[in-house]
Amino acid sequence: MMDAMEAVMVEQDWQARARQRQRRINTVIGALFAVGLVCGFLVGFFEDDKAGLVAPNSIPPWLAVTSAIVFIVAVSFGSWKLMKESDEHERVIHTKTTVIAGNVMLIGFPAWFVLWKGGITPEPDALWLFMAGIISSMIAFAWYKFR
Amino acid sequence: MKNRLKVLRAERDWSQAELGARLDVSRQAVNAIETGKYDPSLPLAFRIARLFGMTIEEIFDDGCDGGSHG
Repeated sequence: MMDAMEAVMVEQDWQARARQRQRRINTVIGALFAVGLVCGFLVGFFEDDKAGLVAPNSIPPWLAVTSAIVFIVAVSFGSWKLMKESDEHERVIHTKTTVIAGNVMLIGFPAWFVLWKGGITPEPDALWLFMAGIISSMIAFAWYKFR
Repeated sequence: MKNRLKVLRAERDWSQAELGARLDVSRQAVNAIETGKYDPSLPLAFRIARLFGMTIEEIFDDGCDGGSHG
């Protein structure tokens, strides 16, 4: 039978583990946020003011390459780290929302492509498809998380 | 899947957050299991059973009637 001292230590142990887990998650999210903030600031600082919001050639090539590399590395590593720290329920939600976003793009593009070939719609736009994927994943995440 | 998790938690006066911390899962996971929206994995089901000192079958009910096989 556990004595009072052991019981207190066991109590503190799971509380400490919970705090440490949340701290690790917050650290990853905070780091990703900081990286995004710095990249966003640099893009805004070096962007050609005369160019449109989605115009090509509006930032220096070195910044474009650097931002792309940073984005790929940060999101890949951050996603892997978050999946490690997430519990199984959170992992299932993340997987489902990623599948939904992927399917929106995988189904949306061929449908849009065929409609374009028939002269009904403009040519498929990657940015609109990406935004549709992002928005659908956000809706799905909110649904699974808060229903 | 129906389960007695909420009752067992209440008997020990634990919050969902406390139970989640003891099982190394989030409060939302505990809530999802209690409301039947999420079925735990086998390792988690075993951890739950060990935590309460019961068998998995005593906590979770898959709705199938028990019966002899063969």
